[in-house]
Amino acid sequence: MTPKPSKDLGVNAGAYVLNALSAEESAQFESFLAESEETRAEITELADTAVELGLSVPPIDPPASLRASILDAIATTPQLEPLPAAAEPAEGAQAIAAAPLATAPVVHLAEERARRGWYSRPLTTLVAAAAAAALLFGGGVAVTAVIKGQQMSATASSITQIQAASDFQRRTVDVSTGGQATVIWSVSLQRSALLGTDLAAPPSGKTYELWYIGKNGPTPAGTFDPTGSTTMSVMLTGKMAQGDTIGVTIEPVGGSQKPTTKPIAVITTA
Amino acid sequence: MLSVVTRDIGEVDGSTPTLSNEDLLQHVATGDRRAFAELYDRTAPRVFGLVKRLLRDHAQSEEVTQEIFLEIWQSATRYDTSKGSAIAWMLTMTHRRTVDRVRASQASRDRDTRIGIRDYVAADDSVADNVEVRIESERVKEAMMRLTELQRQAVQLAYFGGFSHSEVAAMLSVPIGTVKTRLRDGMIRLRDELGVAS
Repeated sequence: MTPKPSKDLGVNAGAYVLNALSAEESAQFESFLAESEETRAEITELADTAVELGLSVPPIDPPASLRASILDAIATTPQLEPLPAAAEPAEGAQAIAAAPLATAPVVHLAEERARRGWYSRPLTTLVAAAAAAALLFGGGVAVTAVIKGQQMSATASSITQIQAASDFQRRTVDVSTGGQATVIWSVSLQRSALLGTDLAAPPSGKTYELWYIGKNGPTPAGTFDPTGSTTMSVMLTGKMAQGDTIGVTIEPVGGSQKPTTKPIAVITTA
Repeated sequence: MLSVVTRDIGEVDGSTPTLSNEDLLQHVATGDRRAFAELYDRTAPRVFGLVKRLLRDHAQSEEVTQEIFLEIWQSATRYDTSKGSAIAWMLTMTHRRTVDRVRASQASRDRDTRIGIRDYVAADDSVADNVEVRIESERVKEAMMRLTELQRQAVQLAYFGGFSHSEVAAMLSVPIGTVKTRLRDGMIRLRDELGVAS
């Protein structure tokens, strides 16, 4: 969409409350709202009108399993700090930053040593996730806070989707070159993400490469460079199959088609 | 931001709650999981009904409903009664998050081309009776019928279909600017017909 002068933005009020604007237009409209009290008043009323539309949709009882799953999930999900009294409405970023990071301690859960031939034979050493891991990345918002500034919001929302999956799982291992790697995954979504803490920058001319390792050996799942930040996250590319092991190696920049070095982290998901 | 809708969801299933949804939400904000469970029981059919209306797919609807209730749990600390009823706050969040999923989902693009126009537009002559746009409330149904045909189509596609203005424009074969105008005029008309006012 071509940006329009702000005086024309009032026409977007209906589309805004119906969530029919693009993300950029919504952001632009919200800036406009800050300046226009008249449009703010209109938006309040139209948003209430949209709620009436929502209330006109026939209710459907969700399955009991969903209730159980949600009540389980909140037990380990931290709540946001209340907004400061003087807070302005349009401060989503700060609000997210205020998430209780204190609940995300760095925990060493297991030792997982890299071995030659790691991807060609079954891994027998399962890494047990300690109960405390539930707190590590317990809630979508906490994850968003952890990775804030490291990745695009698309990653954050993909991670939230994985977390919300009914078969969401996570596992954390030490990385042999330093730091820890937590993999979160959902077999039903066929997706996984790696959350890194205190990972070392790769040597010059090298990059980290991710692998899905299944029956047919390793498949490249993207590269990443944890440069200069204590936390980062990356979605693995491609589709995860049930039982896949996830590996990380250091490869020449651009990545390799097959691993050329010993893995620095191996995470089993079976 | 929301200030008008005060319908108590507890009335829907005939229960007689001693605490309002707003009270419950304030308890939830203190980490009260029993209050959350009660709030869930009262509101989940509303939330799930709207999510499923937009997404159609059952498994995805469950996932998104879970995301929404986790967000409600997390951000109950930021709910402010002066900004509107609990159900308004929750359904506003529900619509936004579900539309996010519609936009993000590859399946939704298949859905758009396969069933979008057929369900939403071809059946327009009997919009209020069309099971796909079934509206429970007589009041809302009547208000809808007061809109012009183009306003009604645009509002329904956007709210109940989760389509963006450019998708609505493509489906109705009108310019985006026209869709924006119709969405705004349509919502203003609905507001007046429904007596929603600050």
